[in-house]
Amino acid sequence: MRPPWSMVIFTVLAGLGQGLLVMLILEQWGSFSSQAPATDSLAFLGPSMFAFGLLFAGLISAFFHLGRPSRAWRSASQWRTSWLSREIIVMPVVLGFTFVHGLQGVLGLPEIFGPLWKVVAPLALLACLAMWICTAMIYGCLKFLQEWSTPWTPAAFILFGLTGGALFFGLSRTLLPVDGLLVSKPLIGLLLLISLAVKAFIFKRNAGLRPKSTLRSATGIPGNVRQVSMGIMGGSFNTREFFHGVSLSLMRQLRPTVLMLAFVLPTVMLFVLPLTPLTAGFIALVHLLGMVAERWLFFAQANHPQNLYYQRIS
Amino acid sequence: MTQLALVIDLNVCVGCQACVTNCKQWNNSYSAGPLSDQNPYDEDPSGTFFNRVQTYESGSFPDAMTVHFPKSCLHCEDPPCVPVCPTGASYKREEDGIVLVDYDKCIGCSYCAWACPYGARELDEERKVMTKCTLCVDRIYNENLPEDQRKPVCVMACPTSARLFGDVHDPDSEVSIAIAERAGYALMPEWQTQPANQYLPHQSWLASMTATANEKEEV
Repeated sequence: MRPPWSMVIFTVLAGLGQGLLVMLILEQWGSFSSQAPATDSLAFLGPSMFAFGLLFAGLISAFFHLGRPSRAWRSASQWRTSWLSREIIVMPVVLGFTFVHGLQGVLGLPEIFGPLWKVVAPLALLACLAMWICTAMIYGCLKFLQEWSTPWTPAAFILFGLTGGALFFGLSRTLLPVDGLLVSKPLIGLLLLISLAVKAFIFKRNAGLRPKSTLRSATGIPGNVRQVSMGIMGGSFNTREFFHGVSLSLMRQLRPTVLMLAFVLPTVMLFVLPLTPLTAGFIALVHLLGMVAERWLFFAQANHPQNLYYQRIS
Repeated sequence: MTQLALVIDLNVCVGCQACVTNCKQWNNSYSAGPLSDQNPYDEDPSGTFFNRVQTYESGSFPDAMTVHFPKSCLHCEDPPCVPVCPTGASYKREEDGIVLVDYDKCIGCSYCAWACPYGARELDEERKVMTKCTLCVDRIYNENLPEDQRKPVCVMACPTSARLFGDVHDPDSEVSIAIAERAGYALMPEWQTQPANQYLPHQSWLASMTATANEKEEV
């Protein structure tokens, strides 16, 4: 597939935003770190606003994917059958919960928000989980895209979102310290390493896939079939939308690059570098770049069976 | 229940592209259009088409053959492109099984095109909505046309009658008889989309097809 940049950016940023919100809720519950949650309003509001910003930027990016963005409101109607429709319903719910979370920091009314949040927080966690599943299943439900059609797709979206969220949460606590980081550092490292293992496994799985469709099954023509003409002189939607246009060798080099940038380097730097605002920002940036590369490759690696009819492109 | 469809006879398709140009002309001009073109008279010409004819070769000299292979939406009985649509713009008609796009509801997200294993849908680059073969729904029920012309325009245009049109759920229809008697087959049966359109194999393949079928039964 040709990776649509709008979708790469949307899925990475929104996934991170959800992860960050999950971490903030867990922190507030106190089940996560032994320290009390941030009471200083900036320490509280900073990461919360950042999560909202990530989700909102993702939403804006998603609009760029549409040919007719002004009709986007229609897309909530088919939630019975379409994972895309479901995602579009869950997304504003997650944004709303993130906003409410931030509101606590602004208004600082523990007597009102305290009991309210006890009810809202589990719902917010559920909404984040639902959104990851919806985003992943948009791709995972297409059964003939064998690279996507596996439970590993939703598992990876949830895991990578949580990992990125935990990393950004930890790093934000170095900028706005409340001693949270020391407690969660090994946990962030562990999540990064699990993510590394899962992504490496998915790469290995994809490399070993045997396409179920062949030129024989696509055309029914027996013998050693080969294409002479694609039925077009120039390009078409089919030759643009489904081919990434990148050389095989670059695709191969991208795999270790993804693992290094997204997971290995952030883990090493997290434990080796003295954590200052500058290094924290750098670690976050490296992970973000790695995740953008990961998502680009996620799309590019998927081999659409329609490409069988366009043999002269690849 | 009716399921309208095309049956393509690969024995007689000569690759003349008359169905392609006639499809383009009709659908560009009437209710499905306009189907935009990009650089039509320049380098890298491109445009929106509902139907294309590709060419394949198989076998080796002296038993090589050229196969012209028309390709359009197969109007699947279980179309994977329909349930994924977030707006309901993509739908399958109950009354005749035609899969259509409501251009006024389409948001141009291309998800349905991703969900079609056959690459049958094309996003119109100018209108930014998804387009596809309509089986000439604006011809086949059109009372302004003489009755013998109420067929998809590709069927009308074909000089060798390589394209048959009818109800594949009616066992007595021309298309059902052709499928039954001449070993009609579906494309990519592995995804269980149950394409309504089927292809009639070249006579010379029948021996090898029976052999493969027997092998499968033995396994």
